[in-house]
Amino acid sequence: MRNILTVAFTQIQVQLAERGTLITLFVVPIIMMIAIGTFSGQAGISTGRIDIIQGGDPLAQQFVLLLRQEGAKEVSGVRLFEVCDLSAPNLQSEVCALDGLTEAESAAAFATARVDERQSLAAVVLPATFSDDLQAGRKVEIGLKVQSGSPFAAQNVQRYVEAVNARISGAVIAAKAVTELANGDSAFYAGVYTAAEAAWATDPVRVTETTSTVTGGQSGSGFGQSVPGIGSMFVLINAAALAQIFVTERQRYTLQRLIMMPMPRSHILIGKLFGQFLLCLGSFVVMLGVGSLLGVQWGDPVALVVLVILFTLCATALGLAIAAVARSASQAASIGFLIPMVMAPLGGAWWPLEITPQAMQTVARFLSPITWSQEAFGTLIYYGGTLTDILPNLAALLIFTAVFFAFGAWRFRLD
Amino acid sequence: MTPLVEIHGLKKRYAPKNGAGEGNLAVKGISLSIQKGEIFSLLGPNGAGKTTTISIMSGLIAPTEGDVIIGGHSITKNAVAVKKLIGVVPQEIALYPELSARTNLEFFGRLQGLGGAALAKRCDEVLEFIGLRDRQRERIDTFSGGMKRRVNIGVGLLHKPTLVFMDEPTVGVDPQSRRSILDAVKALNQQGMTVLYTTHYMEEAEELSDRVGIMDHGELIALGKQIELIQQTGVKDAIILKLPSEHIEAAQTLLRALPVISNVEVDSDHSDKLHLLSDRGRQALPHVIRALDEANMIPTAIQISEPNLESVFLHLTGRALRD
Repeated sequence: MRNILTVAFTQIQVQLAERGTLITLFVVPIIMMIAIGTFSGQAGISTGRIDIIQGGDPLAQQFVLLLRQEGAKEVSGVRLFEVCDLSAPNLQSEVCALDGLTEAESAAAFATARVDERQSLAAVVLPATFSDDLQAGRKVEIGLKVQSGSPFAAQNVQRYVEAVNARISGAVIAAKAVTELANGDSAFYAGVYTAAEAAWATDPVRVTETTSTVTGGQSGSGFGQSVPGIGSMFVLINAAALAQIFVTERQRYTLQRLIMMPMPRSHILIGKLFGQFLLCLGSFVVMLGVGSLLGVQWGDPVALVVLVILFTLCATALGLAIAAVARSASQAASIGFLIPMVMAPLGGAWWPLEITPQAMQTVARFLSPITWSQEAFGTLIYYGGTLTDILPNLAALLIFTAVFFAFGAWRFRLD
Repeated sequence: MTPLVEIHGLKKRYAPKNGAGEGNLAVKGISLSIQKGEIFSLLGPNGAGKTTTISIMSGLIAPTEGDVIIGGHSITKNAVAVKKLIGVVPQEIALYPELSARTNLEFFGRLQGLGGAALAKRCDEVLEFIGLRDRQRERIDTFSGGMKRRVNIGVGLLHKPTLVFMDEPTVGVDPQSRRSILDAVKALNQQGMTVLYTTHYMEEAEELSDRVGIMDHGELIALGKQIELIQQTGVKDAIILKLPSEHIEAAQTLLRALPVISNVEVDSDHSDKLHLLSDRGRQALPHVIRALDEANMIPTAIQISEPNLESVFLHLTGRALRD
């Protein structure tokens, strides 16, 4: 055991003596995970705009008000959308950014351009006769322009517009029907409409949205994706460096000198593996620590510790497998870089796996241990999962570890 | 007395490089023994099989056939016990360049079973011995080639081994460092260490060795003390005379008649030089000079060349040692 620890700690000492290793272990991964997390986080949490053009009649203004209420609802601490009334640009919030809208410019052209340029989610155009048509029972056509290539956003906007429309038209129809039945006058109509509208405003059915573990400003943050993803990728890259270490030590003859020491060869191999495991574990812990500083809440600590240790073990076994096939320094470098760079995006380290085709997700489960670790990290971070919840993922990582290690032990030759 | 090292029928065939056919037979069944306390040199040109032999003896590679017994332990059956007895100084600088001289010594010292105060004391002693105590905290990659060689030697001596293998330790070093290494080998031997020294420098083997084994193409072609090898091969002293060209023929006839001279030939490249062979060149020289003087033939240059290990190797293989 003493020899194993001596080999392991000296290997760590040798690697940390090189500035390049420190950069690969800590600096580059931290920069990458912050950059990717910031980028993907902004893309994910930004509040979209819905531009609306209306004629200023009472029901149109009511439409704007109700749509704005829908948009003000929050999911994961983020407003759904901001309603920008182009008919009254000076009264809109800064989010609407309507400085570019001049009086001479057509509001319709402006709204269309903003959708085309993906600056707003959609443009809604209410006809100038919206109130009259609705009250007269005439067919009302609401114009809706949405971004191309964003079917989910289009569906959502349409849903909200239809919901608001149903509420207004429902109240109008109810008031109109009751007034006709009671032979009431316009004042009677107004009274029924107001009562119907008020009844609707109490929202007889209410959806309460909750999210787990992530709260407040960190909700929806991209760091929950980028920190474990990029961290896992660099743990694989650093573990794969084991192949280069063996090749370099052979060239330097230090490996041969180790073999000449009075200890079994297995102690050398275990010491080298343990040293690289500790180094990768240390770098992973630092990266997760930086993630905590960035606001990522890791959830169940026991599950996190087991997951991190098991993934690092799996990466170290992969390093041994690569060392077993790499016969030169250039082979060790290229294979040791290529494999993690394939496994990382395939396994969802760069982007959520859910956005990839189903076939790719299936393939990733067989080819990349990151698939399982990322899913487990997601369960802990976003869904408040516990050790029990990620047991299948841990089992999959163990299987990967066993396969990599068995291959490495079969093919690897110390001398 | 039981020898410290016994090599029995040692063979090593490497695996074929392309996986086809038979691999190179680098060592072809050598047998020898080394007594405790002696300096034994394995002399031979590059590729003779010296390093392969030492690699087997130090447990780095397994023999194809045969065995090596060191201190009563078989390298094939109990390698760890053998490795405790030996210190190896490889031909390559087998050190971690990123670490200091002392950290390298401490690392390998721990693996050799040292620890605590004993390790610190031994590191101090070795650093003193190799003359690098004042630079012990500096990284190896800042050292000169000679300094690296000395640390390389130091690592092999840390645990005070009974037997030290030194594989071409002077390759690529400056004359001053070479001198210092050779003196170190003698000092270690005086301290009681047995030394197995491989080299292709004949002068080093001559200076250091109690006994010499000459290897060529994986075979041990000669074994014994230097003087015994010279006598075994029957190589004679050579006296080279330079004379005016007009006297060469007459001098050849005159000197052939001397009983102390066994043969006289004209140099094939220089017609003004005669090569005389004698069993004892120094004793024969006065007879040669007197005979020439009486015949009024005065040599312009005289050189005596006594046989050495180079001559033995040349005699046995037909090639110079550095061919």
